[in-house]
Amino acid sequence: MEIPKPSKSHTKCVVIQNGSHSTIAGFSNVSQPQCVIPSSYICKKNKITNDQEYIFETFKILDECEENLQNNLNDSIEKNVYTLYDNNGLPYNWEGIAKQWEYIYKEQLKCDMTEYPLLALMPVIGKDKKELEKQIKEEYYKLAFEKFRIPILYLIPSPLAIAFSLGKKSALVVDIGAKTCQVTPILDGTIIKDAVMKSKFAGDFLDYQIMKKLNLIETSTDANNKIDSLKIWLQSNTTILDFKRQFVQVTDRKLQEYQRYYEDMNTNMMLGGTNDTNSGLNQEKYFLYRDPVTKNRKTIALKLKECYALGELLFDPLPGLNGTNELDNNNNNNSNHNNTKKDIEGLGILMAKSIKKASVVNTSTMGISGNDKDGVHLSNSNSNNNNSSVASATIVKNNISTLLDNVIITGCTSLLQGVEQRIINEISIAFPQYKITTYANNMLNDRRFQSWNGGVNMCNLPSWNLGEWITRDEYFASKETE
Amino acid sequence: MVHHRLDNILIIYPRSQTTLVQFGLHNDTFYVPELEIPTIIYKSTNDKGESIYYPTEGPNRLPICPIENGMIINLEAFQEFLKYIYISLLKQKHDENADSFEYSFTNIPLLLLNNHKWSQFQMESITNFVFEKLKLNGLMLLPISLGASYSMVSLQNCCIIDIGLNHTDIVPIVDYTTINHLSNTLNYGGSYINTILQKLLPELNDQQIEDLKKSPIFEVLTEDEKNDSAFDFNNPITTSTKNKDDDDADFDVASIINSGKDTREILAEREKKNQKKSLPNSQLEFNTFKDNNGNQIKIGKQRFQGCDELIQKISTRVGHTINQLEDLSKQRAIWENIVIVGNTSLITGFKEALLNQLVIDHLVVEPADEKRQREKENFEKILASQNESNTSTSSTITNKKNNTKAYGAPFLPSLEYVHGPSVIKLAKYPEYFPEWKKHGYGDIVFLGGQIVAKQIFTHSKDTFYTTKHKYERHGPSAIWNVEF
Repeated sequence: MEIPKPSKSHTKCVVIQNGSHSTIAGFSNVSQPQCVIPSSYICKKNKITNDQEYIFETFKILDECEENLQNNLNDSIEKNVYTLYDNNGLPYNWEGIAKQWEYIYKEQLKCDMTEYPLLALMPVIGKDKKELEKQIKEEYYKLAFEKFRIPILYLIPSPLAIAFSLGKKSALVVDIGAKTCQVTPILDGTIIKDAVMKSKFAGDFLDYQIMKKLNLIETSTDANNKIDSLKIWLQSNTTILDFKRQFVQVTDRKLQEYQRYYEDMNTNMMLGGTNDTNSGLNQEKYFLYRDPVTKNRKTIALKLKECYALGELLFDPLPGLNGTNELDNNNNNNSNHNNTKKDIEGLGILMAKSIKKASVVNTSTMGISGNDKDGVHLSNSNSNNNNSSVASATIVKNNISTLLDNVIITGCTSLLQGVEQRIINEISIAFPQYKITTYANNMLNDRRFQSWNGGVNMCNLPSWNLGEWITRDEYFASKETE
Repeated sequence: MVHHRLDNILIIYPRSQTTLVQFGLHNDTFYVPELEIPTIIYKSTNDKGESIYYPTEGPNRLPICPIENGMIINLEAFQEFLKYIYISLLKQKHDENADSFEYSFTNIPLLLLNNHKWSQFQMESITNFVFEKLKLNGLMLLPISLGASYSMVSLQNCCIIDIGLNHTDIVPIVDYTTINHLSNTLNYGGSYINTILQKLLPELNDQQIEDLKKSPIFEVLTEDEKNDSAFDFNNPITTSTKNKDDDDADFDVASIINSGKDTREILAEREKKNQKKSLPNSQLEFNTFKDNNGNQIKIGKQRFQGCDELIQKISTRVGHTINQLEDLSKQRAIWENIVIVGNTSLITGFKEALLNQLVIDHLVVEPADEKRQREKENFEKILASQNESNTSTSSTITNKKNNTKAYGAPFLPSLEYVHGPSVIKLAKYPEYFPEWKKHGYGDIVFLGGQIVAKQIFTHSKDTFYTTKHKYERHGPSAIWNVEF
């Protein structure tokens, strides 16, 4: 198009957040993202001509899924859903990401890739996977500079962007996403990588549990596994999504305690001892299940305690793993299991561990000696940590209190009812002597876009000194020196 | 501080087929736009290889439609198109009164309605063009969706369904703001009805199909009307082509068209008879319309068909769109304010049928069979308890309870679901714009443009649109600093 171009000063950037569930993209000069698409796509392959078509748009994917399930299949066309992120919430399908970015630029932003700087939000990778982190960064650089010739790129870990955009140097970012639940402590603008804690018990895990609960999982191993990937995608983005928003609830304390409390109350109230079937935790909630395939409708009645039991899985995933989702079955053996199986950690343990680790790590890495006069002076109060010196104990305390004063709750799955209160309670049980302040955006849509908004804010800072913006020339220069 | 006069305001609503234009608003009421011009421009290339654009056809001129499905596909041509609109309006005013530019038309602001698919680059380029080439002093780009919502007295939360010729735009609005990432386009529009009709009535040509669609006898029937009508709509076989041949055996439209005058007279007589009966269209077996050439064509039940597929597709997509919103209270608010615009919505019964489909597809109510089952169970329970209380002499507290229930109405309240819309309805169309009421609400987006233009351009502050001053300071990106 040969018309006078708008001024090309780099005041406008493209911001892309590849999340494990959805990818959010837009320009930094408007407050709303231009597009939100799934971090998965459909590849339609014509078996005869070998032509491939990629579908990224949310609504088109939904249409494809429905069409696939309603009509008789066209045998010559093979359809599959592919994901971009692995089960650890890390990007792995680089070919797919390249295709997706191409789509975003061409169809959604409708701009030239070489024209605007790009800020990409990336996941945090723990310290034990340094090699992996390097690899992932390298892939991003290759994609941006070599394939798409983007002029300037800035990769920022999303928890950092979220903390900065709230004006915080230090924070504990609790991100409950689709594939992973991650706790990231940030102190003085630095992510404490040693203390980053991650579990797989997040949104997708809940989806699976809900499907089990609603008996949607088909045990029959169909020869056509391919059809199922579309069906599962459709279900988790329609029915399950509906269900999750409305029915999965989290109690403010451990469900067992909650239940006991209710039972006590009930026995006190009902002098005769008869159980009222429709009050308290036994209260029934109705869900109209609409089958995305057959369009049949069915009312599903769930008791309140069942709703809570599903939400409880975030904090205590074990019942879900054992396949016994029923409360009554695991009343006795729950607490024991958590201690024996170390890799099955609910969000509460995850947070406590992260906070403890972050506070200790920092004293050693920051190199503050125990002789520090100020430190001694400040640490008059009793310290819990006997092993470290008095001064570092103070720092530990300060670190913990800084983190707990800045707990940021984010991620799609954190939108479940009651999550915030439960997180506060879980932390206060582990750290009773500290003040806790949480930050959870009440505008639900905003919380979903929090990382992306963080990225936008990073672009709109008066100077870009804060971030590591790398230009294409710098990248190629550094490659040559290698 | 610039104050704009009402009769200086220029409003342009470009669409894929035609563009609506109005120059000057009136004080008392909002009139239907004066001009509806085809969105087309002709291009030729001179010896130097430069493109020259013309508003009219001519030798070696290539017709260009700059907008397709709402998208600008040729930005340069579109800008030239805007220029021609502007210049010809100025010329017209100049011809009317050569001096008018000395005093009345000194300061013309433009309100341009834009589709959600226009890119940032395109909108910045248009801004650049409007200020640099057209030398206008004020510009506002108003999304079509907001035009629609403002025409309905500024709805806070709603979903705009804008049915075009080959596409349907679905745009949710939350808190007076269009949700960009959920704005989407379905690649089916009014022309899909033509496609279906063409299959049902292969003997008619494209123009006749179009005429039929626009004629008053073309309707979408409600369930009640369907039941009252002479046709069996519930039997799927009758809609298939096989059975249609039987219909044609009774009455071959093509033969009548070809047979000439006599048949037409018969038709006219028949129609007169029908009119005497003064039955509504829906209860007539046949009805006639006049095509472009004045031929009368008689149509059977096909005049009530052709819209179902489009309605089904739109309904499904609207459901997906609204379901993507995270906030359920907003979802509910949107379901209560569905806005259907575009000229396809003028088909009698179309809006109602679409609403009906939305209700069928998305309203969360207890399925009828489940309710019946529940009522049955309840009734049996009551009977059982009655028997019990009759036989046993010791009446406990619980039995008493059941007794009162049994004597009460055997009515069961519907289950209350915690999720989903419990009400789906159309937003109310404005009644107090008499000119628009007469015209119909297909182009109602333009009315929204008028309302907004009147408010922002005559407002004492210039915060809501891009002024020349702002443009000079920030360049084309100034449009992003204007929040409306």
